[in-house]
Amino acid sequence: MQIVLAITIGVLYAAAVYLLLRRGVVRVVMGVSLLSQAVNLLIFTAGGIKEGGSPFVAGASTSLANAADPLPQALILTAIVISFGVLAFTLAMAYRADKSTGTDDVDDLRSTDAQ
Amino acid sequence: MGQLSVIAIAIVFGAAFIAPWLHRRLGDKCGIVLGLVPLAAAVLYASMVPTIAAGGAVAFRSEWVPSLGLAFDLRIDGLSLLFLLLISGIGVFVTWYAAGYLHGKKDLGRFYLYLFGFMGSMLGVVSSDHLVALFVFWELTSISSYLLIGYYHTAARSRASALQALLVTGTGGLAMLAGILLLGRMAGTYRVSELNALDAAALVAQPGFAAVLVLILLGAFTKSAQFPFHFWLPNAMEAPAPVSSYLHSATMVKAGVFLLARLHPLLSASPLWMPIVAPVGAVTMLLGVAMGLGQRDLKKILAYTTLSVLGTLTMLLGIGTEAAVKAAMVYLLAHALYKAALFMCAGSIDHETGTRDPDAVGGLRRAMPFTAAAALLAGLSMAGFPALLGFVGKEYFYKALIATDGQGALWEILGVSASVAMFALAATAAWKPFFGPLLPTPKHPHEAPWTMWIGPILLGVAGLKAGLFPGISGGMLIAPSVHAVLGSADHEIAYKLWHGWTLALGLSGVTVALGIVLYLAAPRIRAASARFAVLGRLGPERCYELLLSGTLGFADWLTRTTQNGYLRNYLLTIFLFTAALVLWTLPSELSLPDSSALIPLQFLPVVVCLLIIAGAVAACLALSRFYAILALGVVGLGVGMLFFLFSGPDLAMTQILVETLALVLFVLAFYRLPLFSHYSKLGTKIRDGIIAAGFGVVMTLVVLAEMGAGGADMSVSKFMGESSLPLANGRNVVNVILVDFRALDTLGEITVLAIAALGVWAIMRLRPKNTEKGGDK
Amino acid sequence: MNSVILTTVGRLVAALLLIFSFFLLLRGHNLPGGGFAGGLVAAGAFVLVMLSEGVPTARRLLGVDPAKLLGIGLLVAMASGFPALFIGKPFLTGMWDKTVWPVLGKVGTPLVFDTGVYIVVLGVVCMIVFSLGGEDAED
Repeated sequence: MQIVLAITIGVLYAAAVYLLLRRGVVRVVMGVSLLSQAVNLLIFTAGGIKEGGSPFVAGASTSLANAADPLPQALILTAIVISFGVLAFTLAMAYRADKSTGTDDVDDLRSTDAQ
Repeated sequence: MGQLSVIAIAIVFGAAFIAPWLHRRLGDKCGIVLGLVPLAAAVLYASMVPTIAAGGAVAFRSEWVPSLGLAFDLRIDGLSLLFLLLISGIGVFVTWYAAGYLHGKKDLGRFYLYLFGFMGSMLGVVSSDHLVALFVFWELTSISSYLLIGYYHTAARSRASALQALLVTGTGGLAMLAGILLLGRMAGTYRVSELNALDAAALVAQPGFAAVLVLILLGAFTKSAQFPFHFWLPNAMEAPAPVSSYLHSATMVKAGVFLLARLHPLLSASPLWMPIVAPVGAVTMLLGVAMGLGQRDLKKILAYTTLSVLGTLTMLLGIGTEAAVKAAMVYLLAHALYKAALFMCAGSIDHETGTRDPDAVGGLRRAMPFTAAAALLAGLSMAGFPALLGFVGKEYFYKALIATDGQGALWEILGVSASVAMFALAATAAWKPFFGPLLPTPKHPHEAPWTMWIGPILLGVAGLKAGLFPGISGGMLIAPSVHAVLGSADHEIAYKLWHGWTLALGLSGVTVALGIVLYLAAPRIRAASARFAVLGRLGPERCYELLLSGTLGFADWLTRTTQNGYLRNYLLTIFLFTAALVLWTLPSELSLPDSSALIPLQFLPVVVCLLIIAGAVAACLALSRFYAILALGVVGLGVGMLFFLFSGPDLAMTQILVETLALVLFVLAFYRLPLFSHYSKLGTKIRDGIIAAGFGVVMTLVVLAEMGAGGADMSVSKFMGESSLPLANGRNVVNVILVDFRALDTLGEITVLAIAALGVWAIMRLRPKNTEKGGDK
Repeated sequence: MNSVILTTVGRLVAALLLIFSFFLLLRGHNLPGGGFAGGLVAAGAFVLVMLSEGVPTARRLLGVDPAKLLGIGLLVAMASGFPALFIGKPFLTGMWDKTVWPVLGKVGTPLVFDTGVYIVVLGVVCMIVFSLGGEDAED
């Protein structure tokens, strides 16, 4: 299973990189979104994967027994919400760039500062 | 009494900060009020004179960064006091002078801010006992000097000169910092008073001390404009006259000399001291007057003679005998008094007549009687006429040279040549403009306001008084400073005007005679010097220019090459570099998870993984936005499923909620975003595909390596799992981490979210001025 | 999108979502949920209203300017850190009341903190979605 997961993460990274290298700004935004999925999964697997061991303290015991690592999960949880914020921000930027420069080609956005 | 030394610095810095406000309130008169501040400082310092003349020192200590062993140590001894009185005393006159010279300038408040900032830093330099504090003040003087030279900031030459001064002295300052740090490590202390009390012979014998000496000398030489770093000083004459008078003759440029004197007891023990310092000083001394003779600008003439004097002082400290040090101290005091006055007079001439060409002005004594009197007093001192302090200085100078063992005759010839030229230049600067026939000038000359002549007059009188009654200044100022430089008090400092018929007096007579001859020939030398102007282009300044343009050219090339503006190229660089770094270290780390730890393949997770892969590929290949968004949705939900399947219910829930909202976001943006355009050629796509696939493979290997490594260090997670219920009353450890253990992180994260939301709002709501589609490109 | 069915059902579902979001927030300390998930669900309620009835209605139902929610949420989260300071503990140390309240369960500063998170997330999502779905659609 781990090998399948590793390949899945690799494919997500590859797709993200490919989209980031496009010139159309919408594809670049999608690349950012895929990249954050890939990173989240990477961190998720870093804690070791476990089935049926949610990180909850059960019943009478006071510690986690045979459960998934809670620390990466806490990191990813905020990362998921923040990647939503980033997605919204990049979408808004793409919209504004298109509106005010009339192009969605990132190569044409090189010199907007110099104007 | 220790606190007084801090108070004096503090009031000067305080005055710097209120100067702009004061200028708005009082206008041009603010200078006269501000002049009282250095006056107060001077009184404070004067109150220390009896203590220090009796052989004591005034010290103040306050911890600064105790963990780094940095303390704010002030210690005022004879040498410091001489400088402190000069800085604060001349500061009074410069402040008043500036009120007249820069009369009516709108940014006079800013000028005083810089000037007082400089004054405070300079007081700090000479009263610091800790070398690091001294360095900080030292750099502050460089920066304030930069701002002051560039005061006429609309003139390109002014800016270039300011930059040149900053770069030259700043580079030297950095070398000096390295030297200070090395010295501190070697000696185990940064305190000057302790350093000078060490066994110097043992210290200089340590390996690497030569580096310390050279680095510190670089700092001192650049600051005091010694050859080959001399060129910045004459160029700094772009500054307004009060600045030239204050920084570039009386105080700042002497900081280098001060440093040499300060560390004299320690550094002069090195066998390299004399062979480096004395020749550099001698070359600068002769170069200064030689170049000064060719100048057609009063301020430049004075600048080059300043250069020469700085060389003389350096040379004397390099020789380092008791007589030489005594001569250096007297010479230094005399020079500060007469040169500050002469710069102010030259500024007044410029201000009132509109020219600084010594051949174009003459006979101004009737129009400007006070300035003429001041210039005459100062000029006589500079020329070394009897009864003035300059004469005493020159006598001691000659005596030191005669007393120098060995090559005595060589030193004497060098010294007399410099003094002869100095005489001629003194006459050019102080006599020529005021006597002889009245020459027509661009402006009709009349006397400058009192603020501009009171300082020069008083400084001239001070020079006369110190010359006539050398015992007072000698006992109060010179003797304690000589003791401080030599590091011991067992020297009898005899100090008088009349020495009897000595060889030194004879040399003085020769100097005057030859000087008069040279003065008469001076106009012809000036006229001829134009032909040699080309030589100036070959000097060290040319090296500076080449170095500067070379650095700028390289920076330009580097920026254009690396910051080319193509997002793609930046990303490629990052990805390829990351991949290369990972591949470099990976082989040694890579150990595939052993088969026992592998979770067997199961139907549901495998299907989800295949869905994610399909979605990712589809997102890349999709020809329209609609399908691409759909594919992204599949990926996002698939990742959520994976979280759920592998024990992350919180993550799964959040992920699915966010994916849903992201879908809404895309749909909302759908109408606003451009259609997919197709820019790339097939070749580019294939190239990018290969790069992306390669990066994907690398990341796959990383994930495998990470799983094979047996998991991360779990101790933190274990602690959190164990304390979740007892300490934080929560069974959901993920949530407990978020809101309790790592709550500060979460607080930061929700702040980031809030900022992102504000950003979106601002981008969507506010629009730039030109919103025409395809407008201003 | 003026569908009577969508409007009616939309409001109903939105109300249910809001209740569910409170439920998620309160149980988050022991079971899946918490401020992030709760805030997202609550925001989902208003997004649903926005989709069915437009931004102005959603804004009116929300009752507060989303920008104010950001500030309020951050203040609430930060305020939960101060009680610890009074007894000399580091900022944001969890403090608990031992009694078990009905509905709320045990009450402590972490719950207050999570409520702050909830409010910020609600504000963030509403602000973003309202802006992008915005009243000022075309210029």
